[in-house]
Amino acid sequence: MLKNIEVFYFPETVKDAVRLLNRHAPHAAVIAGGTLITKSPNLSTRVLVDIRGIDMDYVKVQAGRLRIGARTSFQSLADSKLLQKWAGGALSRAAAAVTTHLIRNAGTIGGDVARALPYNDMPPVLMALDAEAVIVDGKKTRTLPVEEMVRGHMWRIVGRRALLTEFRLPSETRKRACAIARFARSASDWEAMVHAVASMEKSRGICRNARIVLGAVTRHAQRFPQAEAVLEGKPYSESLAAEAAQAVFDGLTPVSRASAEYRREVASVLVRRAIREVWNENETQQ
Amino acid sequence: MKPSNKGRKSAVAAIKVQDGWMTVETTVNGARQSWKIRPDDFLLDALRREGFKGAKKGCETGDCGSCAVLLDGKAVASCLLLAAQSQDREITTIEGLGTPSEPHPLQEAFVDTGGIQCGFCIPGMILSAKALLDRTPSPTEAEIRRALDGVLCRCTGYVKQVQAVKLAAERKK
Repeated sequence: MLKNIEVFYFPETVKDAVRLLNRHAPHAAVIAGGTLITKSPNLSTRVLVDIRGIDMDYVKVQAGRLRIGARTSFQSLADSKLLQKWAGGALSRAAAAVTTHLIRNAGTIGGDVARALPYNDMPPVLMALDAEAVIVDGKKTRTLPVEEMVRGHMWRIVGRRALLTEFRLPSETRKRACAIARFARSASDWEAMVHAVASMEKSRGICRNARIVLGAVTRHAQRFPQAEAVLEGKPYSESLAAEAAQAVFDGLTPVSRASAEYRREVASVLVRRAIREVWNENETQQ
Repeated sequence: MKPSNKGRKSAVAAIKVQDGWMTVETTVNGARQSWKIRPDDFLLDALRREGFKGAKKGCETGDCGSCAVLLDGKAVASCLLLAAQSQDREITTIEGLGTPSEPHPLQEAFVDTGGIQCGFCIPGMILSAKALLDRTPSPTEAEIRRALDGVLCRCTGYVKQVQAVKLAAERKK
Protein backbone atom coordinates (compact mmCIF):
# COMPACT_ATOMS: atom_id res chain seq x y z
CA MET A 1 0.00 0.00 0.00
CA LEU A 2 1.59 3.24 1.11
CA LYS A 3 4.41 1.68 3.08
CA ASN A 4 7.12 3.85 1.61
CA ILE A 5 5.74 7.19 2.73
CA GLU A 6 8.48 9.36 4.19
CA VAL A 7 6.60 12.57 4.87
CA PHE A 8 3.08 14.01 5.00
CA TYR A 9 2.58 17.66 4.11
CA PHE A 10 -0.40 19.84 4.99
CA PRO A 11 -0.17 22.88 2.68
CA GLU A 12 -2.72 25.65 2.96
CA THR A 13 -2.36 27.21 -0.47
CA VAL A 14 -2.44 25.90 -4.03
CA LYS A 15 0.97 27.48 -4.57
CA ASP A 16 2.55 25.54 -1.71
CA ALA A 17 0.91 22.29 -2.79
CA VAL A 18 2.14 22.64 -6.38
CA ARG A 19 5.63 23.54 -5.14
CA LEU A 20 5.72 20.37 -3.03
CA LEU A 21 4.50 18.23 -5.94
CA ASN A 22 7.25 19.70 -8.12
CA ARG A 23 9.96 19.33 -5.51
CA HIS A 24 9.15 15.67 -4.89
CA ALA A 25 8.07 14.56 -8.38
CA PRO A 26 7.63 11.79 -9.37
CA HIS A 27 7.28 10.46 -5.82
CA ALA A 28 4.58 12.78 -4.47
CA ALA A 29 0.83 12.18 -4.54
CA VAL A 30 -2.13 14.29 -3.49
CA ILE A 31 -4.54 13.01 -0.88
CA ALA A 32 -7.96 14.64 -0.36
CA GLY A 33 -10.76 12.41 0.95
CA GLY A 34 -8.51 9.37 0.81
CA THR A 35 -11.20 6.84 -0.08
CA LEU A 36 -9.50 5.80 -3.35
CA ILE A 37 -5.78 6.39 -2.80
CA THR A 38 -5.57 4.56 0.52
CA LYS A 39 -6.63 1.30 -1.08
CA SER A 40 -4.58 1.58 -4.27
CA PRO A 41 -1.11 0.15 -3.95
CA ASN A 42 1.55 2.47 -5.26
CA LEU A 43 4.91 1.74 -3.78
CA SER A 44 6.59 4.60 -5.63
CA THR A 45 4.73 7.20 -3.56
CA ARG A 46 7.00 8.56 -0.84
CA VAL A 47 5.40 11.92 -0.16
CA LEU A 48 1.73 12.59 0.51
CA VAL A 49 0.37 16.10 0.11
CA ASP A 50 -2.84 16.37 2.15
CA ILE A 51 -4.82 19.23 0.62
CA ARG A 52 -7.54 19.45 3.26
CA GLY A 53 -6.36 22.90 4.39
CA ILE A 54 -6.64 24.47 0.94
CA ASP A 55 -9.74 26.50 0.09
CA MET A 56 -11.00 24.22 -2.67
CA ASP A 57 -14.36 23.29 -1.16
CA TYR A 58 -17.03 25.46 -2.79
CA VAL A 59 -19.79 25.67 -5.37
CA LYS A 60 -20.30 29.16 -6.80
CA VAL A 61 -21.26 31.11 -9.90
CA GLN A 62 -18.84 33.61 -11.33
CA ALA A 63 -19.36 35.50 -14.58
CA GLY A 64 -22.25 33.16 -15.31
CA ARG A 65 -20.08 30.04 -15.06
CA LEU A 66 -20.43 27.43 -12.37
CA ARG A 67 -17.25 26.78 -10.40
CA ILE A 68 -16.83 23.73 -8.21
CA GLY A 69 -13.76 23.34 -5.99
CA ALA A 70 -12.00 20.04 -6.58
CA ARG A 71 -11.98 19.19 -2.87
CA THR A 72 -15.77 19.51 -2.53
CA SER A 73 -17.16 16.30 -1.04
CA PHE A 74 -19.96 14.31 -2.65
CA GLN A 75 -22.19 15.19 0.29
CA SER A 76 -21.55 18.92 -0.13
CA LEU A 77 -22.41 18.59 -3.82
CA ALA A 78 -25.60 16.76 -2.93
CA ASP A 79 -26.53 19.46 -0.39
CA SER A 80 -25.61 22.49 -2.52
CA LYS A 81 -28.70 24.59 -3.24
CA LEU A 82 -26.94 26.13 -6.22
CA LEU A 83 -26.09 22.76 -7.71
CA GLN A 84 -29.60 21.48 -7.11
CA LYS A 85 -30.75 24.11 -9.62
CA TRP A 86 -28.02 23.78 -12.23
CA ALA A 87 -29.01 21.59 -15.19
CA GLY A 88 -31.99 20.31 -13.26
CA GLY A 89 -29.74 19.32 -10.35
CA ALA A 90 -28.06 16.48 -12.26
CA LEU A 91 -24.64 16.73 -10.58
CA SER A 92 -26.24 17.04 -7.20
CA ARG A 93 -28.36 13.94 -7.79
CA ALA A 94 -25.38 11.99 -9.08
CA ALA A 95 -23.37 12.91 -5.98
CA ALA A 96 -26.26 11.93 -3.70
CA ALA A 97 -26.26 8.48 -5.32
CA VAL A 98 -22.59 7.78 -4.58
CA THR A 99 -22.56 4.70 -2.32
CA THR A 100 -23.31 5.73 1.27
CA HIS A 101 -23.00 8.82 3.43
CA LEU A 102 -19.80 7.49 5.02
CA ILE A 103 -18.13 7.73 1.62
CA ARG A 104 -19.97 10.88 0.50
CA ASN A 105 -18.64 12.73 3.56
CA ALA A 106 -15.04 11.91 2.65
CA GLY A 107 -14.74 11.40 -1.12
CA THR A 108 -14.33 14.43 -3.38
CA ILE A 109 -15.28 15.34 -6.94
CA GLY A 110 -11.62 16.00 -7.74
CA GLY A 111 -10.57 12.53 -6.66
CA ASP A 112 -13.37 11.01 -8.72
CA VAL A 113 -11.88 12.62 -11.85
CA ALA A 114 -8.16 12.51 -10.99
CA ARG A 115 -8.33 8.79 -10.35
CA ALA A 116 -10.98 8.12 -12.94
CA LEU A 117 -11.92 4.49 -12.54
CA PRO A 118 -14.30 3.40 -15.32
CA TYR A 119 -17.32 3.34 -13.01
CA ASN A 120 -16.76 6.63 -11.16
CA ASP A 121 -20.03 8.53 -11.02
CA MET A 122 -18.99 12.15 -11.56
CA PRO A 123 -17.17 12.03 -14.93
CA PRO A 124 -20.17 11.09 -17.13
CA VAL A 125 -22.30 13.91 -15.69
CA LEU A 126 -19.47 16.44 -15.87
CA MET A 127 -18.87 15.44 -19.49
CA ALA A 128 -22.55 15.75 -20.37
CA LEU A 129 -22.38 19.32 -19.05
CA ASP A 130 -19.21 20.26 -20.99
CA ALA A 131 -17.17 20.67 -17.80
CA GLU A 132 -13.54 21.71 -17.87
CA ALA A 133 -10.95 20.91 -15.23
CA VAL A 134 -8.58 23.60 -14.00
CA ILE A 135 -5.02 22.35 -13.66
CA VAL A 136 -2.31 24.29 -11.87
CA ASP A 137 1.11 23.20 -12.98
CA GLY A 138 4.07 25.20 -11.77
CA LYS A 139 3.20 28.82 -12.42
CA LYS A 140 0.82 28.01 -15.25
CA THR A 141 -2.90 27.48 -14.96
CA ARG A 142 -4.65 25.69 -17.78
CA THR A 143 -7.99 24.09 -18.46
CA LEU A 144 -8.70 20.71 -19.96
CA PRO A 145 -12.06 19.16 -20.87
CA VAL A 146 -13.04 16.54 -18.30
CA GLU A 147 -13.49 14.24 -21.30
CA GLU A 148 -9.70 14.32 -21.79
CA MET A 149 -8.87 14.14 -18.10
CA VAL A 150 -10.64 10.83 -17.61
CA ARG A 151 -8.84 8.98 -20.41
CA GLY A 152 -6.44 7.65 -17.81
CA HIS A 153 -4.99 8.28 -14.38
CA MET A 154 -4.39 12.03 -13.99
CA TRP A 155 -0.64 11.37 -13.80
CA ARG A 156 -0.71 10.04 -17.35
CA ILE A 157 -2.73 12.96 -18.66
CA VAL A 158 -1.15 15.99 -17.00
CA GLY A 159 1.92 14.61 -15.25
CA ARG A 160 2.72 14.26 -11.58
CA ARG A 161 3.52 17.89 -10.85
CA ALA A 162 0.02 19.25 -11.41
CA LEU A 163 -2.82 19.96 -9.01
CA LEU A 164 -6.45 19.72 -10.09
CA THR A 165 -8.12 22.69 -8.39
CA GLU A 166 -11.53 23.29 -9.91
CA PHE A 167 -14.25 22.36 -12.39
CA ARG A 168 -15.98 24.95 -14.55
CA LEU A 169 -19.30 24.51 -16.29
CA PRO A 170 -20.28 26.95 -19.06
CA SER A 171 -23.19 29.28 -18.30
CA GLU A 172 -25.36 27.78 -21.04
CA THR A 173 -25.45 24.44 -19.22
CA ARG A 174 -27.47 25.97 -16.37
CA LYS A 175 -30.71 25.53 -18.32
CA ARG A 176 -29.80 22.25 -19.93
CA ALA A 177 -31.90 19.28 -18.97
CA CYS A 178 -29.93 16.27 -17.87
CA ALA A 179 -31.02 12.75 -16.94
CA ILE A 180 -29.06 9.92 -15.40
CA ALA A 181 -29.87 6.22 -15.72
CA ARG A 182 -27.59 4.18 -13.48
CA PHE A 183 -27.73 0.44 -13.13
CA ALA A 184 -25.81 -1.40 -10.39
CA ARG A 185 -26.24 -4.60 -8.41
CA SER A 186 -27.55 -2.55 -5.49
CA ALA A 187 -28.25 1.13 -4.86
CA SER A 188 -25.16 1.44 -2.66
CA ASP A 189 -22.81 -0.43 -5.00
CA TRP A 190 -19.65 1.61 -5.72
CA GLU A 191 -19.40 0.20 -9.19
CA ALA A 192 -22.21 0.86 -11.61
CA MET A 193 -22.66 -1.83 -14.25
CA VAL A 194 -23.82 0.80 -16.73
CA HIS A 195 -24.14 4.54 -16.20
CA ALA A 196 -25.92 6.50 -18.94
CA VAL A 197 -26.26 10.29 -18.97
CA ALA A 198 -28.21 12.34 -21.52
CA SER A 199 -28.40 16.09 -21.66
CA MET A 200 -29.79 18.57 -24.17
CA GLU A 201 -31.50 21.88 -24.72
CA LYS A 202 -34.96 21.97 -26.18
CA SER A 203 -35.44 24.78 -28.62
CA ARG A 204 -39.00 25.05 -29.98
CA GLY A 205 -39.50 21.31 -29.84
CA ILE A 206 -36.08 20.55 -31.34
CA CYS A 207 -33.13 18.76 -29.63
CA ARG A 208 -30.04 20.98 -29.45
CA ASN A 209 -26.58 20.37 -28.04
CA ALA A 210 -27.39 16.78 -27.20
CA ARG A 211 -24.82 14.93 -25.13
CA ILE A 212 -24.87 11.18 -24.64
CA VAL A 213 -22.26 9.80 -22.23
CA LEU A 214 -21.73 6.30 -20.92
CA GLY A 215 -19.73 5.34 -17.85
CA ALA A 216 -18.72 1.94 -16.49
CA VAL A 217 -18.88 0.05 -19.78
CA THR A 218 -15.58 0.96 -21.43
CA ARG A 219 -12.14 1.79 -20.03
CA HIS A 220 -13.24 5.32 -19.27
CA ALA A 221 -16.42 7.38 -19.51
CA GLN A 222 -17.11 8.10 -23.14
CA ARG A 223 -19.28 10.40 -25.25
CA PHE A 224 -21.20 8.94 -28.18
CA PRO A 225 -21.11 11.50 -31.01
CA GLN A 226 -22.95 9.07 -33.31
CA ALA A 227 -25.93 9.01 -30.95
CA GLU A 228 -25.74 12.77 -30.37
CA ALA A 229 -25.81 13.35 -34.13
CA VAL A 230 -29.02 11.32 -34.41
CA LEU A 231 -30.75 13.73 -32.00
CA GLU A 232 -29.23 17.01 -33.11
CA GLY A 233 -31.68 19.42 -34.73
CA LYS A 234 -34.58 16.97 -34.76
CA PRO A 235 -37.95 17.04 -33.03
CA TYR A 236 -38.16 14.51 -30.21
CA SER A 237 -40.02 11.28 -30.68
CA GLU A 238 -39.87 7.82 -29.17
CA SER A 239 -38.46 6.45 -32.41
CA LEU A 240 -35.73 9.12 -32.43
CA ALA A 241 -34.71 8.04 -28.91
CA ALA A 242 -34.68 4.42 -30.09
CA GLU A 243 -32.53 5.35 -33.07
CA ALA A 244 -30.00 7.10 -30.81
CA ALA A 245 -29.98 4.07 -28.51
CA GLN A 246 -29.33 1.85 -31.51
CA ALA A 247 -26.34 4.03 -32.44
CA VAL A 248 -24.93 3.39 -28.95
CA PHE A 249 -25.60 -0.33 -29.30
CA ASP A 250 -23.79 -0.42 -32.66
CA GLY A 251 -20.84 1.69 -31.56
CA LEU A 252 -20.16 0.13 -28.17
CA THR A 253 -17.55 -2.48 -27.29
CA PRO A 254 -17.92 -3.07 -23.55
CA VAL A 255 -14.96 -4.37 -21.53
CA SER A 256 -14.86 -6.55 -18.39
CA ARG A 257 -17.53 -7.28 -15.73
CA ALA A 258 -20.57 -9.11 -17.06
CA SER A 259 -20.78 -10.23 -20.66
CA ALA A 260 -20.34 -7.71 -23.46
CA GLU A 261 -23.70 -8.64 -25.03
CA TYR A 262 -25.48 -8.02 -21.75
CA ARG A 263 -23.87 -4.66 -21.18
CA ARG A 264 -24.47 -3.48 -24.72
CA GLU A 265 -28.13 -4.34 -24.34
CA VAL A 266 -28.43 -2.63 -20.94
CA ALA A 267 -26.51 0.40 -22.22
CA SER A 268 -28.83 0.96 -25.14
CA VAL A 269 -31.92 0.54 -22.94
CA LEU A 270 -30.58 3.02 -20.39
CA VAL A 271 -29.66 5.53 -23.10
CA ARG A 272 -33.19 5.37 -24.47
CA ARG A 273 -34.63 5.86 -20.99
CA ALA A 274 -32.28 8.75 -20.24
CA ILE A 275 -33.22 10.51 -23.48
CA ARG A 276 -36.90 10.01 -22.79
CA GLU A 277 -36.53 11.30 -19.25
CA VAL A 278 -34.46 14.29 -20.25
CA TRP A 279 -37.03 15.24 -22.82
CA ASN A 280 -39.93 14.96 -20.40
CA GLU A 281 -38.01 16.81 -17.70
CA ASN A 282 -37.37 19.59 -20.18
CA GLU A 283 -41.05 19.58 -21.12
CA THR A 284 -42.19 20.20 -17.55
CA GLN A 285 -39.66 22.99 -17.09
CA GLN A 286 -40.95 25.00 -20.03
CA MET B 1 4.17 18.48 19.23
CA LYS B 2 2.81 20.40 16.26
CA PRO B 3 3.77 19.25 12.77
CA SER B 4 7.29 20.54 12.29
CA ASN B 5 8.20 23.34 9.92
CA LYS B 6 11.91 23.19 10.70
CA GLY B 7 14.43 22.99 7.92
CA ARG B 8 11.93 24.08 5.25
CA LYS B 9 11.85 27.34 3.41
CA SER B 10 8.07 27.26 3.38
CA ALA B 11 5.84 27.31 6.41
CA VAL B 12 4.04 24.17 5.31
CA ALA B 13 3.17 21.88 8.21
CA ALA B 14 4.64 18.41 7.86
CA ILE B 15 5.00 15.13 9.68
CA LYS B 16 8.13 13.15 8.92
CA VAL B 17 8.50 9.43 9.15
CA GLN B 18 11.55 8.35 11.14
CA ASP B 19 12.70 4.73 11.23
CA GLY B 20 9.30 3.72 9.91
CA TRP B 21 7.29 5.56 12.55
CA MET B 22 5.52 8.90 12.70
CA THR B 23 3.74 10.84 15.43
CA VAL B 24 0.20 12.01 14.87
CA GLU B 25 -1.53 14.44 17.22
CA THR B 26 -5.26 14.15 17.27
CA THR B 27 -8.22 14.52 19.61
CA VAL B 28 -10.43 11.57 20.48
CA ASN B 29 -13.61 12.14 22.48
CA GLY B 30 -12.28 15.48 23.66
CA ALA B 31 -8.90 14.19 24.87
CA ARG B 32 -5.67 15.05 23.10
CA GLN B 33 -3.81 11.99 21.79
CA SER B 34 -0.31 11.46 20.53
CA TRP B 35 -0.02 8.32 18.44
CA LYS B 36 3.08 6.61 17.21
CA ILE B 37 1.94 5.05 13.96
CA ARG B 38 3.17 3.56 10.71
CA PRO B 39 2.59 5.82 7.68
CA ASP B 40 0.20 3.31 6.10
CA ASP B 41 -1.83 2.68 9.24
CA PHE B 42 -5.54 3.20 8.77
CA LEU B 43 -7.46 5.30 11.26
CA LEU B 44 -9.47 2.22 12.25
CA ASP B 45 -6.35 0.24 13.16
CA ALA B 46 -4.83 3.12 15.10
CA LEU B 47 -8.06 3.63 17.05
CA ARG B 48 -8.41 -0.05 17.93
CA ARG B 49 -4.76 -0.28 18.96
CA GLU B 50 -5.30 2.68 21.27
CA GLY B 51 -8.22 0.90 22.90
CA PHE B 52 -11.16 2.42 21.03
CA LYS B 53 -12.53 -0.97 20.06
CA GLY B 54 -16.07 0.28 19.57
CA ALA B 55 -14.99 0.98 15.99
CA LYS B 56 -15.36 -2.47 14.43
CA LYS B 57 -13.28 -4.10 11.77
CA GLY B 58 -15.72 -5.56 9.26
CA CYS B 59 -15.16 -5.39 5.52
CA GLU B 60 -12.21 -2.94 5.37
CA THR B 61 -13.49 -1.73 2.02
CA GLY B 62 -15.92 0.99 3.11
CA ASP B 63 -19.00 -1.13 2.45
CA CYS B 64 -20.26 -2.27 5.86
CA GLY B 65 -19.92 0.88 7.96
CA SER B 66 -19.20 -0.85 11.26
CA CYS B 67 -15.97 1.17 11.49
CA ALA B 68 -17.83 4.51 11.34
CA VAL B 69 -16.54 7.30 13.56
CA LEU B 70 -17.19 11.04 13.52
CA LEU B 71 -14.39 13.15 12.07
CA ASP B 72 -15.01 16.82 12.83
CA GLY B 73 -18.65 15.88 13.38
CA LYS B 74 -19.15 13.98 10.13
CA ALA B 75 -19.60 10.22 9.92
CA VAL B 76 -16.82 8.56 7.92
CA ALA B 77 -15.52 5.04 7.32
CA SER B 78 -12.34 4.86 9.41
CA CYS B 79 -11.15 1.83 7.43
CA LEU B 80 -10.61 4.02 4.36
CA LEU B 81 -8.79 6.93 5.97
CA LEU B 82 -5.16 6.99 6.92
CA ALA B 83 -4.52 7.63 10.59
CA ALA B 84 -2.31 10.55 9.53
CA GLN B 85 -5.35 12.25 8.01
CA SER B 86 -6.70 12.70 11.54
CA GLN B 87 -3.82 15.04 12.43
CA ASP B 88 -5.24 18.03 14.35
CA ARG B 89 -8.82 16.88 13.90
CA GLU B 90 -11.57 15.83 16.31
CA ILE B 91 -12.66 12.21 16.39
CA THR B 92 -15.70 10.90 18.23
CA THR B 93 -16.01 7.18 18.85
CA ILE B 94 -18.81 5.31 20.60
CA GLU B 95 -16.69 5.36 23.79
CA GLY B 96 -17.24 9.12 23.90
CA LEU B 97 -21.02 8.91 23.98
CA GLY B 98 -22.12 7.50 27.31
CA THR B 99 -21.38 5.06 30.11
CA PRO B 100 -23.24 1.90 31.19
CA SER B 101 -24.73 3.83 34.13
CA GLU B 102 -25.40 6.99 32.11
CA PRO B 103 -26.06 6.03 28.52
CA HIS B 104 -26.43 8.60 25.76
CA PRO B 105 -30.11 9.23 24.78
CA LEU B 106 -29.48 7.44 21.49
CA GLN B 107 -28.04 4.40 23.27
CA GLU B 108 -31.06 4.37 25.58
CA ALA B 109 -33.45 4.61 22.65
CA PHE B 110 -31.70 1.73 20.83
CA VAL B 111 -32.10 -0.46 23.94
CA ASP B 112 -35.72 0.60 24.51
CA THR B 113 -36.82 -0.17 20.95
CA GLY B 114 -34.95 -3.49 20.76
CA GLY B 115 -32.75 -2.13 17.98
CA ILE B 116 -29.72 -4.12 19.16
CA GLN B 117 -29.06 -7.80 18.67
CA CYS B 118 -25.45 -8.87 18.21
CA GLY B 119 -24.31 -5.27 18.55
CA PHE B 120 -21.52 -5.33 15.98
CA CYS B 121 -23.01 -2.58 13.78
CA ILE B 122 -24.47 -0.51 16.60
CA PRO B 123 -21.54 1.90 17.21
CA GLY B 124 -21.66 2.86 13.51
CA MET B 125 -25.44 3.17 13.63
CA ILE B 126 -25.46 5.34 16.75
CA LEU B 127 -22.62 7.60 15.57
CA SER B 128 -24.30 8.05 12.17
CA ALA B 129 -27.53 8.91 14.01
CA LYS B 130 -25.69 11.35 16.27
CA ALA B 131 -24.21 13.18 13.28
CA LEU B 132 -27.75 13.48 11.91
CA LEU B 133 -29.42 14.69 15.13
CA ASP B 134 -26.63 17.20 15.80
CA ARG B 135 -27.52 18.95 12.55
CA THR B 136 -31.19 18.00 12.17
CA PRO B 137 -32.88 17.64 15.57
CA SER B 138 -36.27 16.62 14.08
CA PRO B 139 -35.44 14.46 11.07
CA THR B 140 -37.98 12.87 8.76
CA GLU B 141 -37.99 9.10 8.36
CA ALA B 142 -36.37 9.52 4.93
CA GLU B 143 -33.57 11.57 6.48
CA ILE B 144 -33.04 8.93 9.16
CA ARG B 145 -32.88 6.15 6.59
CA ARG B 146 -30.44 8.17 4.54
CA ALA B 147 -28.26 8.87 7.58
CA LEU B 148 -28.09 5.15 8.40
CA ASP B 149 -27.49 4.08 4.79
CA GLY B 150 -23.79 3.42 5.31
CA VAL B 151 -24.13 0.81 8.04
CA LEU B 152 -25.17 -2.76 7.36
CA CYS B 153 -27.02 -4.77 10.02
CA ARG B 154 -27.41 -8.51 9.48
CA CYS B 155 -29.52 -9.22 12.60
CA THR B 156 -32.47 -6.93 13.04
CA GLY B 157 -33.26 -5.46 9.69
CA TYR B 158 -33.51 -1.73 10.02
CA VAL B 159 -37.03 -0.99 11.26
CA LYS B 160 -36.24 -0.87 14.97
CA GLN B 161 -33.11 1.17 14.45
CA VAL B 162 -35.05 3.79 12.51
CA GLN B 163 -37.63 3.76 15.34
CA ALA B 164 -34.83 4.22 17.86
CA VAL B 165 -33.52 7.35 16.15
CA LYS B 166 -37.08 8.73 15.97
CA LEU B 167 -37.56 8.02 19.67
CA ALA B 168 -34.30 9.70 20.62
CA ALA B 169 -35.26 12.76 18.57
CA GLU B 170 -38.68 12.95 20.25
CA ARG B 171 -37.24 12.58 23.75
CA LYS B 172 -34.74 15.34 23.05
CA LYS B 173 -37.53 17.86 22.39
